[in-house]
Amino acid sequence: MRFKSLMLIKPYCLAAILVILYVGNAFSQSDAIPDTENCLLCHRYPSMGRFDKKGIKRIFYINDKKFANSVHGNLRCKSCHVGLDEIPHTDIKKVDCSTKCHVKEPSTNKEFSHINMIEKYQASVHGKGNKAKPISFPEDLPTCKDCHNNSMYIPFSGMWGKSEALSNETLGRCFGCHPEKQWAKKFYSHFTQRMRRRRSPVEIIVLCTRCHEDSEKMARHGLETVDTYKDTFHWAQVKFGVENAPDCISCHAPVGYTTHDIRPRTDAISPINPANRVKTCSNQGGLQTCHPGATAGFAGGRVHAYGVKAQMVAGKEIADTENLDMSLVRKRAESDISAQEAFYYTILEYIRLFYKVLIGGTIGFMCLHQFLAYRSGRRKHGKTG
Amino acid sequence: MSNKDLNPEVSAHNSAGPETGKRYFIRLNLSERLQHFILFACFIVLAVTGFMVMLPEVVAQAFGGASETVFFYRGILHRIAGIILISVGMYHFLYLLFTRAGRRWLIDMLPRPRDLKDMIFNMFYYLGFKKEPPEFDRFSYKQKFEYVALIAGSIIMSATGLLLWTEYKWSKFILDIATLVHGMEAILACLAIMIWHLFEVYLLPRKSSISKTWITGLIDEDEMKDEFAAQYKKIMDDPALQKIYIHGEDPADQKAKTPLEVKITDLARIH
Amino acid sequence: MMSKVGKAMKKFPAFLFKFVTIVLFCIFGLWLLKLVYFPELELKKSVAAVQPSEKEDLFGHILKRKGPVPQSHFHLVDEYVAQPEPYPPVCMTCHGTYPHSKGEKVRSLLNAHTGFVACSVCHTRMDPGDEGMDFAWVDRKSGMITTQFQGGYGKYSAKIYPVTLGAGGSKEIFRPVDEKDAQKFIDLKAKFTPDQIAEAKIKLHSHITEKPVFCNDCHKKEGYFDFAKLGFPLQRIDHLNSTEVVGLIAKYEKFYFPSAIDFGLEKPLE
Repeated sequence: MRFKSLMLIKPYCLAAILVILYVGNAFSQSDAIPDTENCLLCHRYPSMGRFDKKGIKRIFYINDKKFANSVHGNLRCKSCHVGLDEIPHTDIKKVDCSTKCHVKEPSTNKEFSHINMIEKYQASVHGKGNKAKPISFPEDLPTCKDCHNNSMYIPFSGMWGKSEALSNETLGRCFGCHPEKQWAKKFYSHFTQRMRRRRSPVEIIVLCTRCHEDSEKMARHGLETVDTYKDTFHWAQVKFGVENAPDCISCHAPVGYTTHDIRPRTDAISPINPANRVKTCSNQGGLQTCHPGATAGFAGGRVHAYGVKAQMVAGKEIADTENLDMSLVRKRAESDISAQEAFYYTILEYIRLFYKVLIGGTIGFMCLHQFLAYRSGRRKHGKTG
Repeated sequence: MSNKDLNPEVSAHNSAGPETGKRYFIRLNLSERLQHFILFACFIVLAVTGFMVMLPEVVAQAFGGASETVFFYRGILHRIAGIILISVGMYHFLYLLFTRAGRRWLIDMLPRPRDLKDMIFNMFYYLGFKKEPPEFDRFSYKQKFEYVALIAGSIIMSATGLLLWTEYKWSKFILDIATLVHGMEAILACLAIMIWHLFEVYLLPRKSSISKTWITGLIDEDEMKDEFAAQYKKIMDDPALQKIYIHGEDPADQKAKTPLEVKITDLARIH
Repeated sequence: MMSKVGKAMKKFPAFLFKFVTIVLFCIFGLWLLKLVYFPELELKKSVAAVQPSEKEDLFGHILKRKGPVPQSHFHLVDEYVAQPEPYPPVCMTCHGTYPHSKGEKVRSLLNAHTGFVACSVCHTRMDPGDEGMDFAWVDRKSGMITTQFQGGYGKYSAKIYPVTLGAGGSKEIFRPVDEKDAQKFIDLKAKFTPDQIAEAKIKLHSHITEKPVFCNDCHKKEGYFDFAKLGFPLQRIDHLNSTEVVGLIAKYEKFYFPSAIDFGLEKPLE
């Protein structure tokens, strides 16, 4: 079992995320929300909250300014928290993101909801499945909130500057025709928010590895952990915080795909399906043209380094531990790793072994030789060396 | 305090004999020293920029906001140093074939059965089974071993490095091998350089504390007798060789100088 | 003699330089060897910190949770959700940041109050006639009694504590549970028998009143608190006693009334 992990970086990133959660960026400060429902009477107290039946800490605090500047800032509480009529809230329902939230979607003029994304997501590899297509351990699969929080609008940066100046200048032009300033700000923020990636590559890695690092959870679904990503040069770039560095979504949801529609390698429309690999690796049309001349041979290979599955197919014994049932992984490994790949893995392991022996032997001999040389040198020249 | 004490190295030389009457032997000519210097500089740049990729996350994050820039220049520098190193390697190849000094170098460097014998006897000497060390010719078995390792290493590193540079053209399997070999070979090279070469020239107890041969190209007679006794005898027996290897014998360079008197301007003069 | 010392002194920088370079080379060399032979070494540590231990149990997952904000919290929070506590918050050491969990309907609201009133305010009921007792703000950072506090709506830089009035108007924070004893109890807990724990708990909490101060004790005119004396502006006092707040409380009272602290069962009055 290879114990590898991207976790070391997590404390830093979590701290960074927490800072974002705490501080955010109060760009284009909208005034606090018009609290027509008077929810803030109670919910503005930071220590409001409790532990729920599952033992999860529930924070019932709303920072009104941050909420007003968030992507959901123009919604009333009850738009999402449907049916809260009683005080105290005995009639609480779980928020359903597919709820129509009384906002008109301008292109169709119909009531808006996240149903489009949710349907795509359900069809994706992360979907919880349904009666027709049941999935084991559906509780392992991420829900909206596992990846999304109510993020705040961030001033657009890039090309001409990283400050609010760019936003101020652009917005100034908008106000000429659109006198309702609050509306214009929201509209502008809505677009600019989508002109950049919400998360840095490191944040993406942290997000995905929350689950994909958990060997127990992965084994339940016949998957290996993604720790071998760390053996790639892709990771080296992410580690150094290179902008547009290849993180998970760069390959699993490149240009033309959405993160909600990540599909397994076997799926014909998946960007990591061997048939689509050349396009994915070259990432033509994306901000970052990664490997523009990618050949089929280059794109056809395994990007994450060989991991547990390759070891299994190559004949290495991977023992089940007390809480890790590897049988499903073993089964999936047989179909996932071709004989050729197992051969490749074996060759690489032999090269590694060769070098381990070579380095050990050479360096061992050298150390011994030099130690003796040093001793005899001291005998001859005294200790003034 | 006498004037001698100001510089331990001067005093070390002075105690070895009168300065002016001393003979110096040429180990490296200007071209060789330049090749060595470029190789040396490139090697350091390559090692630093190369192993940066392997730094633990925490260290990589420590660069803070500059880390992206650092990483960018890391890549550029690594490639530049790589190209220079490959060029020096090719120049050295031509040097070996097309210059007289190069051909002498090649012939002296060729491994011989005698080297194996030397090595065994030398180990016996180190262990105290023999009183005297074997007499080495111009290049001892240590230096030949290192030279062969350097050439093999450079070829492997250059080849895998070029493969990785043009990654999109090759199959992923080839790249996997290249990545692995490039990394492992780099580790081997760094360790070998540190343990074998730096130790030899920097740490080993000897008369002068740090060998200056890589700058001046010269070693003094005592050291010559000590370390390359076979070559010393050969030179002393052969006036033609004396002309080549003894510093100052060349009519172009009449005034004999101690290594310490050699200044930067002198470096431009080919021995 | 002098020249020998002088010689050594002259040689020292060269020696130091050599020593430092050798140490650096050694570290670098060991790191390289680690890369070859133990590439997973540093990761193992981090895995151990985050991944469930070999013997995964109930608490393994809990130990993994870190930070004041749970992973899947949706709304943005700020630094106030995890404000520093004045003094060692000994109550919260055992009872947590959300100590109220029993009264299903009212627990969140009561927890909301923990941000600006100390536990001892409600859980030690004072005699209204007692001249020796009062309430005062205690600064969150220094832990000192203060009259200065910034912020509003639970985001104050201080917290209200009961204080005892000494001679000459000196004030001291009243602590119903002795901080040192409580800490001792926490340290010794594992050595106690269950009966000893029960006894210790009762002894520790002997100053905790059975019936805590409840909403409408304060949220009324001339209630338990003198809001004005604590420095609340008039407008705010009016709001705290307004029909909006009091009406809300009345609603709660309909189905919830706090029970005495009797290890467990709330008694809904309906």
